Amino acid sequence: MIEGNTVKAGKGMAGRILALSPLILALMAPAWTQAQDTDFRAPLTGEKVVAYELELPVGRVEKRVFEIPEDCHDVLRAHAEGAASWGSQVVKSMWWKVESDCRYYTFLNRYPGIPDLQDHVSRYDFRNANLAELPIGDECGKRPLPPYACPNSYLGTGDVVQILPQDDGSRPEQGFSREGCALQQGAFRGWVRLDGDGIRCQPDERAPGVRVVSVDLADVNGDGFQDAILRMIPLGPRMGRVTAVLPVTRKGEDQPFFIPKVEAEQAGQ
Amino acid sequence: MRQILDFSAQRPWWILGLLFLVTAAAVTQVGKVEVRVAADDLLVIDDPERRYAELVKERYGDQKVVLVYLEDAHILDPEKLKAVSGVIDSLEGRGFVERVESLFSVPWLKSVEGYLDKSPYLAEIPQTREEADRILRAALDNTFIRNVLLTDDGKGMGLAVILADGVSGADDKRITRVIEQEIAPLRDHYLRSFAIGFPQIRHEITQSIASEQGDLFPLALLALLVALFAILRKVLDVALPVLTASLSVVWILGLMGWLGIHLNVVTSIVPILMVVVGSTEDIHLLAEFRRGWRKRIEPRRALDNMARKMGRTVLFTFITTFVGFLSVGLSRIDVLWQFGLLAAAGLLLNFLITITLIPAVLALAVRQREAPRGGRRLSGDGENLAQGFWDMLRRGRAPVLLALAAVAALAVAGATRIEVNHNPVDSLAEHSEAKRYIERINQRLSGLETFSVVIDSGIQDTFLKARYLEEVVEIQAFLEEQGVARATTSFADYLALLNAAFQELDEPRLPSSDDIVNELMIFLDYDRVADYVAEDYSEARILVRHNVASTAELRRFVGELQGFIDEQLDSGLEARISGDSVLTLSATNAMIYGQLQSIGLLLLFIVLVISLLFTDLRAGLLAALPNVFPVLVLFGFMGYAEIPLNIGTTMAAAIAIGIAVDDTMHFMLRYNQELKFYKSQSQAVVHTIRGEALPVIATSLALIGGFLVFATSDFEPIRQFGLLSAVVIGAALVADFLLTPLAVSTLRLVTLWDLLSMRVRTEVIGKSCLFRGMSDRQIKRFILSSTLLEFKAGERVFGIGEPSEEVYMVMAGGVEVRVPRRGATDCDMVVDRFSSGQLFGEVAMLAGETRKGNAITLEQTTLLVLNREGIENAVRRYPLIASKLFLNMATDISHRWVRFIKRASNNEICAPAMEDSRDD
Repeated sequence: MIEGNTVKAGKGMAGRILALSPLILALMAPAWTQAQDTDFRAPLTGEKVVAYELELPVGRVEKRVFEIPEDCHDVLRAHAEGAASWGSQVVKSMWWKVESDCRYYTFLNRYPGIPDLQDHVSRYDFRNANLAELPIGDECGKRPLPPYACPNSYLGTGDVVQILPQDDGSRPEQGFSREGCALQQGAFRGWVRLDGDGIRCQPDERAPGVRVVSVDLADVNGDGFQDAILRMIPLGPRMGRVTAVLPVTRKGEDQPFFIPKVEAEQAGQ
Repeated sequence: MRQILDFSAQRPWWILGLLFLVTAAAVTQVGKVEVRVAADDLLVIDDPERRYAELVKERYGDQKVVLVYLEDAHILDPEKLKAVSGVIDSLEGRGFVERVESLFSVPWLKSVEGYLDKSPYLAEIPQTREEADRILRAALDNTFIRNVLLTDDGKGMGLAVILADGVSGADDKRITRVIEQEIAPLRDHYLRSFAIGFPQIRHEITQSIASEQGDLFPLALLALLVALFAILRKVLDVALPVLTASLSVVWILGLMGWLGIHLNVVTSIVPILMVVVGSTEDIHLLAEFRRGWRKRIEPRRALDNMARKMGRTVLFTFITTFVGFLSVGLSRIDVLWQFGLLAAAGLLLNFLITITLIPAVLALAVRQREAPRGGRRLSGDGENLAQGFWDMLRRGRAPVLLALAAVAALAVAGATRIEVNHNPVDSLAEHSEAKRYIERINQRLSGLETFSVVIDSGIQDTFLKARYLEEVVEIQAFLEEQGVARATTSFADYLALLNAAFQELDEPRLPSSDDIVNELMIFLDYDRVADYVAEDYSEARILVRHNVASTAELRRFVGELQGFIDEQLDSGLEARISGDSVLTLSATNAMIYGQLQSIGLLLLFIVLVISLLFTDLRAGLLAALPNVFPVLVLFGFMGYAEIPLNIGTTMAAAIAIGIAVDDTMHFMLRYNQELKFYKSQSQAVVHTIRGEALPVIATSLALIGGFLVFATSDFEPIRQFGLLSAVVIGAALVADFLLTPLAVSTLRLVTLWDLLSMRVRTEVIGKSCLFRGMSDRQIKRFILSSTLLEFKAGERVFGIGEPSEEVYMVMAGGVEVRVPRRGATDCDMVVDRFSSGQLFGEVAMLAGETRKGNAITLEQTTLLVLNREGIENAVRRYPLIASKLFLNMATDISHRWVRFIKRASNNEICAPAMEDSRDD
């Protein structure tokens, strides 16, 4: 665990996520007790940590050291108050990261400590899952987005569909199959076709891909069912750096995965 | 000058006492002289490029690094790495080491399950060759490692020992010794292991300088002794130059110690140079003294004769040599500036010692009534030899001049091949350990030479934008295409590594969008890239490592890079090339300019001094001729022998000319003196050759021997300096004996002193009928083309039957022109008597007849002689003046004719007959 990494920042950061502030504040409402630990990429080092510390500007000259995730409440409040508008581009990026981490952390911990959760996900090996078994493109991949269920819209993250290396139709059909969509040690490299028949893939070690960087367990909607929240990143050149969040759950071990519904009011919409 | 020489001869004990006191004081300071070597000494003083380079260093850091290089077929074998790890730990425990950068510390940016892993390449020692190869392959993908800490073939590895702040040149010896001790265990594991950095280089140079002072100094003294003894063969004559040279060395070292001036590669030759050049004036003074001594004139008069004849000459030759040394000090290169001033100061001290010690010791020696036997006749009596040489030279004038012209033309052709090299590493000896190591590093890694390309936008966060990062990459790509830079590193490279790690790419790739850059920046520790980008990202720096030793190649390379930048760089960006290599180029330019400047100024000075001295520009130009020739030979020799213009050779021309011109001065001044005693220019040349041959040859051989001592130096530029200086002195010797006699024989030299004496006779000239109606300037033209001749009372100026080529004007004294009477034995007919301002001899000359009478001086007489050639020249070039001259002559002849008739009628034209006139 890395604690104590400090970035000294200068001026403010743009408020591109500022519009989501009421939602964020609503999401962070639940208590922090028995909070779900999650992994973060530490600023400056990029290493896997469960907590980190960062000094950020909160005004023209004022700075504050935030301990993440402990100070996530303060981070989101300060962000909502426009603290991220101070500092250079790098500092704004830092604010963006801290705020994203805190929103995600808050998202995981909306319903902490719910007793007797029905868990049909924790024994599933998501790192070696088949993408075809996951609810990719089922709901959040469709346009227009439904008013619920897609956490990306309020987490400020990307959609999984957006980060998949989609085939442009130039490759032969026979190369694509559902079996080809298997993740290996959390990563898939190849090309993906997403259509009415669902997802089909053509593995290719030299192609772009996606990686599951974390699988967190939490009940994100308080329905009494354990949910698995997958954070995925794109791999390969010219892929965006957007992290996609895919919460999945199922009602039984042999049931298909689906995206847990987050009610509109729960999402603040 | 004469007064000083006389004073020293009159009060020898005072002088010796004074010299002893000063020497004793100097000795107390000699121990304070330190050897200190600094790379900055080779750079240009007040160079704007240097100020900018300092700024870049301040902004991006200036690490002092010692590179430990290890080479083996399998550098990452576990046992080897354990030994290396131990050495690194041990080095990092040393106070002078800040840290050691190596594969043990450089982060291997990679993604592990989506998280960044920055653990070093050798976080764990690989246990198998396959594992080691995988690490090597990965490390070679890292531009911060490839050719910087790891050779292309993975068989050579570097440990960069970063020295702590505050480490200075004073720590060189300790650092070198400690690092040597620390890395000693690695010799058991690696085929090759050594440490090289500025401390090692400086330490080696310092040791070499100290050792050379011990080696070259006695060698220079020995060369001087051998040369002097071979030529002079008289103990006192050999001992005195050696003594003045030795005292000069002590004085200059004392001065350096007193003023806190350090010895470096270039200034270290000053003491030895004093031995080499400090004896030349002594030889000339001694030669003149011995000349009088041999004539068995009274010793005191011999000393007086020396002071009278050589005082002015040694002063002028000192001045020209002094200016020669000083002209090196005009260089903008720090070390040359130091050298020029120091050497000039040394020469001044040497001159002071010479003009006081030589007369003082000689005065004491003659008191001992030393017999004038033994020893070589310094000035020589070989009149026949001189006459033979001159006759041969005069007869062979055309072939000699042609041969010299051919040599000069060949030299000019060779000069075009000269290259400039200002690579400090080339200063090191061929057998130098440091040089060998540097060459190995240059061959196997990217080299120790660096420069920076600093790209500035003036706008914050510019280099967080992909398009501007691409500009950086394009410059780097150009540098790599040129094939000169073996490693270029930049902020873009680090971002590419980081991007590749995050995106799990096979190779580093620049982020394709600003968003990706911004996200990567979250995980970028600025300290890691502080050497490459400004904190506000408005400016980026590309660090270029290369191994270009040739300055010409570096100049071409930097020029092409600048061209690329000018043409291709985004108009919103400004790029500037800076750093050590650029400063080297700047110093190279300064060196070329300084070389031309010092030679030009020196030659100009020589021309001016001699022109003023002889009040004739032609004399100055002719004096420059035998000194231009050695310069041409020098450059030709450099071109054919592939000796580059460097920090050593750039001094050779100016110094050597400064010394070589002394012989020309001696030659010309003596010729001028001889002209006063001999009516014929040829006779004057013969006597000049006779008088100057031996001293000139003696000093030249002593100088050649002395300069060749430098050819044994450990430092290549100093070696080349010695060799080239010897070549210049040799060429000057040839020119002085071939070119100078031929050149000066075409002139009748009138010195400034002569002119001053004419001013005393202004009245004479002003009242002369010859110059009536002429302006001062017009009179001067005639005066300068004339000669002064001195005659004793009763001496014949010309005689009956002699060719009439001259017109005479009496400056002082009196002359009588007589014609023997036919049949009369008791008296000659006195045609006329001439006193100050009067003209005679023009009748026969204008008539084109031989002399019809004898001109006899009535007392000590000074005559101004105008020859036919001068008059004819005046007719051609100044017809107005000539018309006045002829009118004046006609008037004068008419007056004299009237006077003659009056005297004939008064029977006043008889004088006692001369015996020799009867013979005629």
